[in-house]
Amino acid sequence: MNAIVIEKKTYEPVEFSGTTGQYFRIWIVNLALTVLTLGVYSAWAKVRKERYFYTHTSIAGSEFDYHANPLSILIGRVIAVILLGAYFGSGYIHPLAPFPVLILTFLVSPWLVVRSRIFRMRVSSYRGIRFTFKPAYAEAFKVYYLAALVTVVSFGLATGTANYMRNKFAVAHSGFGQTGFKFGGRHSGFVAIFWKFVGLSILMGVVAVSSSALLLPLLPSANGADEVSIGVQASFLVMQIPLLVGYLAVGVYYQVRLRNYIWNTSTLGENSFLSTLSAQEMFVIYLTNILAIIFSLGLLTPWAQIRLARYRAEHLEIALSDDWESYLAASGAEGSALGDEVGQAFDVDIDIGF
Amino acid sequence: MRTTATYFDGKSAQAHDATLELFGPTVQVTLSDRAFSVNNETSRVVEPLGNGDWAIELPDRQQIRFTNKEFGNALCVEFRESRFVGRMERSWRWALLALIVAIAGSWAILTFGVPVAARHIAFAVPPELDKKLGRESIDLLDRIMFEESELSDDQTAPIRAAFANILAEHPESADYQLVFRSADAIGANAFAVPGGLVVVTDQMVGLFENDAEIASVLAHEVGHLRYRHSLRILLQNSVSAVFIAGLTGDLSNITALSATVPTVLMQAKYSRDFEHEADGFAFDYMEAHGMDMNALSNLLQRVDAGADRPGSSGIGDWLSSHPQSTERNRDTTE
Ligand SMILES: [Zn+2]
Repeated sequence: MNAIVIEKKTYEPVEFSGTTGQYFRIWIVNLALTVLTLGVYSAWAKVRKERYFYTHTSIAGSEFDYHANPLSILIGRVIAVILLGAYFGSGYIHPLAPFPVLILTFLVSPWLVVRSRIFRMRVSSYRGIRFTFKPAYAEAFKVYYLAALVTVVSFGLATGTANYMRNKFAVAHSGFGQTGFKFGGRHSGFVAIFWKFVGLSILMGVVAVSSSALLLPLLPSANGADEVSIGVQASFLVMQIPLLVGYLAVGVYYQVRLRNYIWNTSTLGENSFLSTLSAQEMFVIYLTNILAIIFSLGLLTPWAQIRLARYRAEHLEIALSDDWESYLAASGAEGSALGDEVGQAFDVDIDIGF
Repeated sequence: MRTTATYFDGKSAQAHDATLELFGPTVQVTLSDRAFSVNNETSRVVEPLGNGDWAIELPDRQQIRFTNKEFGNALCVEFRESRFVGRMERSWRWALLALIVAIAGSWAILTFGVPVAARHIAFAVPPELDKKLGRESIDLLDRIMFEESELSDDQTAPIRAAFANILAEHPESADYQLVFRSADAIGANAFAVPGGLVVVTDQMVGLFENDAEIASVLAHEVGHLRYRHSLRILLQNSVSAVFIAGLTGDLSNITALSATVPTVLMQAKYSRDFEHEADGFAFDYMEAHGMDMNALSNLLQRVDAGADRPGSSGIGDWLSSHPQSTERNRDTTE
């Protein structure tokens, strides 16, 4: 008797139902209001944009929702502008003064990362339950400082390790209601992805430089003294195109491989995920998006965003190990144990890329 | 008016079937095991964006979601929820108007509003701040880029005299100073360092052929200083970058690359505008003294021809040097 217990799994796709026509009107109206208010409305615009994407993303017939208070986002943006102002302004008082501002920003960045993650998770919901992020500040400082140290000391060679540390921290502290996400990624997995990325970058660099060299004879001669500036400047730009495209390609490859790996090794309760993004397809989407945005003078931005969101949703599925409904029924809210009320006083979503 | 809906208690993700009935400003909610009523004092109705659900947000994160549009419309009236933005977002007419407003508005802000604001702020900032910055900048440049000038007093005498003549006509600029430095890395160039310092490289001095050329370069740099260009370009570049980022800020990381195009174009325009303003200052001076109006462009052409590398170095732009372009020929006809 060889009874094999096969784990029963049903795959539930993530569905995206946004359309370009609908989102274009929302986007342009909010853009106009942002211009008319000299940028102040941008916080409200962001909330409407996020709400559109969240409420048009659904799993098993239920949509996500976004509940941020625009004022929190406005405060976050004011803080970011003040930081930027300090950065530029201090350069005017002393040419070296921006460096302390940069160092200070780096020093507080773990705190900022945790704060904005708490905010972003808390304002996202699915079926009335909010997502969560644990306020593990001490660990954040440890992880982020150590990751930076590892990167610097190894001259960037240990970037895979640093990525592993930061992503482990991010996933393991996230949750949905009372259920926490579990991070199953391995150090070796991140290191392997990083080295494939390095290998591809070198290959891409060789290809880009040799194709630039092939382009060279096609360009206007740089010898004529008369039109030196324009002719030569244009040729420099054209020669950079293969390099820029190659740079985009390996960047997208790295991002896609990391994203797939992180989703596919993470679990929420008994449920796992299946992310099947393709690096080639994502590269084509990004490249055509950038070209479309530039050549339409920005007007195709909504089309580009909808298309990217749809592609991402189409390539993510949730593997449900047991009955979804009963799992959901058992998923409780995080309760007030996390100091929700205190947290809300400090709600800021600071838009600085780290 | 009634509709079916889904109720979430905010404690679990379980969906409960519910029936809603609207009685004036109150909604009667009936669940399988209990019933309660809701009004706009403790709850608010959230209109969907696009095809999303209608939602009623209750205290303690309880939520009711439904899709019946008529019910939602009636509820918005009863709850006095403002729907102005939502109405605009659904209309193609408003979208067209918004498109015009967005384009005209950003153009007006970037080409008119930002420069005017920057000028007012720059002239309100005390010049002492510039002086301090200027000292630090020249110290830094002396360490990393400049060597002592190798010119003799005889060689610099005509340039110092021309500088004194320009300052004599602008008493408020009497404390501006002229210094000479040798700089192999950047070659023939002249800078305006904020706070009233004009730096001319030995290599530049070697290119001067007559007094008009000397005056044109010095007056151009004095123009940069008098109009506070270094502070204004700093203000304009940072404000326009923040503004453009605010408009395009919802792009994902990689696509955000496309936002750098308008930013760079805008900054190039600001920089060109300041060069024109400084040229204008120089041309006014030269015209008043009956000098050769082609002197500046003649000299710049020799500078361009002598430079081994096309395009100018970043450090020069930072101190608002003149970019090595021949665009200035046109101005001489004004
Ligand atoms: Zn200049």
